[in-house]
Amino acid sequence: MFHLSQMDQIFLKSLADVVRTSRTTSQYDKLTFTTQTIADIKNELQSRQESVRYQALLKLFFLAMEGNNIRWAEFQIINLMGSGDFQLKLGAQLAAHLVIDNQSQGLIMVTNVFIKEFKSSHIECSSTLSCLGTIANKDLSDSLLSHVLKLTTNTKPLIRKKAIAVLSKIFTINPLNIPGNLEMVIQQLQKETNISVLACGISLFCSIMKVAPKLYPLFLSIVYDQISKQKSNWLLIKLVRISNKLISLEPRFQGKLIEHYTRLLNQTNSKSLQYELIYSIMRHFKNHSQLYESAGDILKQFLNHQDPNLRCLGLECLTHISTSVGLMEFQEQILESFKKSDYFSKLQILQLFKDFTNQNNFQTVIEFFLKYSDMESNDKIIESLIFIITKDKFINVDDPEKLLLVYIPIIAQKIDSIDNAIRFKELLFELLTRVPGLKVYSDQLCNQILQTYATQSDSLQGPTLNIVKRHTQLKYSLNHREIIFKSLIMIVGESVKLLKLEALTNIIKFLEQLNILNCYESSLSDIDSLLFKIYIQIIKSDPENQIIPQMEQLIKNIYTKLHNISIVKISFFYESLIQIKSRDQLQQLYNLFEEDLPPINLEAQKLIKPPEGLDINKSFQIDISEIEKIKNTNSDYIEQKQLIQQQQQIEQNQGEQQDQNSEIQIKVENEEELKPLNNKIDQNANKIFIINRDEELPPGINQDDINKFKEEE
Amino acid sequence: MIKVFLIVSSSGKIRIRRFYDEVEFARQQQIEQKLIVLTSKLSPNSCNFFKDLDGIYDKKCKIVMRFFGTLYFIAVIDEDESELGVLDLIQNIVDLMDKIFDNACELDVLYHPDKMNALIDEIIVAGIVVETNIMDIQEALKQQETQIKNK
Repeated sequence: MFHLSQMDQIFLKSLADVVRTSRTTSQYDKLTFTTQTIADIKNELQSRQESVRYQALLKLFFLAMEGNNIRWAEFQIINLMGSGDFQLKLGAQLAAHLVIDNQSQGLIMVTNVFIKEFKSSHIECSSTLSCLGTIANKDLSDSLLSHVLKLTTNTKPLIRKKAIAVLSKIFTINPLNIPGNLEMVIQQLQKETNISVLACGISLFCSIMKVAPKLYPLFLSIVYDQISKQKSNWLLIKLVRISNKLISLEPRFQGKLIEHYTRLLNQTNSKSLQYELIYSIMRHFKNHSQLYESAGDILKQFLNHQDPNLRCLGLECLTHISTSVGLMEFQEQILESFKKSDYFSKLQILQLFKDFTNQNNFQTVIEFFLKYSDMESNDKIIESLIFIITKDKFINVDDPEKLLLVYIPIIAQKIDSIDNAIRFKELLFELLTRVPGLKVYSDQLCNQILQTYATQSDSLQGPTLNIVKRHTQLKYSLNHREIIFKSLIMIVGESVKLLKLEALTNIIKFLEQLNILNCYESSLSDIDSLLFKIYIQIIKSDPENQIIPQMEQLIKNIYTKLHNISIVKISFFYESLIQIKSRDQLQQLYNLFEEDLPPINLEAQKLIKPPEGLDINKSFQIDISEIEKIKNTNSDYIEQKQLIQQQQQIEQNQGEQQDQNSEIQIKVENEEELKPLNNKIDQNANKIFIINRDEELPPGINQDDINKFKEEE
Repeated sequence: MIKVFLIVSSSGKIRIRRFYDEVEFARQQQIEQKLIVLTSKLSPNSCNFFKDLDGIYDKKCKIVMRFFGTLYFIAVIDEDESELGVLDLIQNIVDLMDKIFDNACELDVLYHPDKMNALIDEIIVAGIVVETNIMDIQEALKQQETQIKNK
């Protein structure tokens, strides 16, 4: 034991002093404090006083736990490992893992130190083995292998078990050391009676199976031998675990274990051993009905147990019932246990259903999880539901219409994270691509989801742009509401041609709300292009101009509220107006574009010289009288063009009418012939939406067409 | 095999850190931070172990957590280790701490890092659990103390 001299006691800062100072130091002074402490420790480690060096070592532990990198002390620690004083040596060995890693240059110096320690008393040897187990690398393992192998025959079980544990690390680092040496270890283990040593031996076999699984025949007999006679639960647990791996490599081993598993299952009261046995039986013993049934009974006890750990283990076992038919037996129990489970068990249950949901239980599963989601697990539930829906190209979905109109709006309302919003967006796009007929419902979907956004006051508060830290930079990222809003706007835009006039007008009325425009500022360009598409569609589908004036007023209201109108979009807008509308109607919108265009900004001319002769200070517009002249000639041309177009249209209509009349005559003749056949067909056939599961085929193209084309080629 | 063993205070400070596989220092800190965040999900009625689905250490591993007093005991284990066995192991460690420090608390772990690390080294070597018997472990630690006193 160290006794500090009086002088040392005055000036030496102990670990307690350092801890106290660290707690009272403010954050700003922390760096100074740490630097000072490290400087003190460096001095103290070089002291001749062992007590001083030991205190420095303790302080190093503290600094390392505070998150400081203390790898600079590598050489000093290795130096201390060779000290004559046991306490100092032990302290250095315990601190070794904090300063030494695989690449450390100082490990070479450690070899001789360790060899010397292995020849000392069993206490020093034991602590050295523990240290070696933590810091061993390839070179150190190769040089010390023979010494460690000798220690496996030591009289003390303490040394033997630690030597075997270290061997597992040595064999894992360099598997070339296994042949020749493993047989020796197995021979010793066959005579071994100490349970701890045997358990370490089984762990050694587990490590070897990871790097050299083909060597399993070497320890098959010893594992079987121990299962048949062992009574320690701890060892039996390890034996059953390794047997799982051995059965998958050697299926005949399974037959030998039936008798012992049956005996153990009937005799043991230990829950941990019971779990290992039923896990193994569920996985490998499905053909042995009696054993399987008794394991199933115990599994049900686990699933209904009050202890959440045992319930969790029961769920783990279920993942190895490979068929979903088998899982259906337990479905109700699992769903009941979900209601009272903790966060981690819920994750496990979700994982289970991700693997085993099918068309039969799809609706039950979705409805249950949507009903019982809570704040803590909501994110994971939504993620799992989206996975279940989109799994294998919607293989679980038999009613896409119901999915779109019933389940998807509820899922959208529950989303509260960006990742899930992105997954939801992808789900929508994929679903509507694979089932194009569903686009007819896009306005309904949009309304259902966006109406709740409009009415929920909290969803319209706060910005929809989040500032997110990515690595060291701050970036803007849309939040989940805006991502869903954008995707819905895009879907409606794509489906505009399929929607009725009433639906389109409702959408425009919804978008006119100022709180929507203010909230979703990042989506204004999407709203802009949607309005444009809707307007064009309305013009095409309302030839009598009944709704158009009302719509134009609404759109004008929206544009006056929007702050960033893109000039390009307006020019397209104006162009289409010229083509489709009459002069009187154009006049009404003239005021929108009455302002002069702004002159070119001088800053824009810095890099590009203006062409010679061009005066950039002069206005774009020349003479208003000139413009009037051009306008008049153009308007005459436009008038004449319109007259010509009208005449052409009249002639076309006459021609079409004649064709129609002849068609009607033919139709009437055919109908009289087909009457008896038509009566048999059901006129009110139900709509059936079929999901296109072909890989990367755009809608409208069949696999048959492609095959035909290939044959022709 | 046990891959990681941590003792963390309820304020998020690491008190004992053992990584039994080769992991870079920067990655060690990342793993520790994520495990500390997970401790907030632990409640008295919750399960003490779960799969590492987020890949904090490795997606094939499991995380076992237990809370005593003001300390979280966290172990990351692979498929060769029994979950209930590790829970028992943590219980044994706490019992031993009580015997060594006489009603142990967080301050004992803070002010005696050498004794805590020695205790853990008697139980886990190279990621393998070498002893679970409290009497045998106590005996080994007593022998070390005797060796130190007889200097």
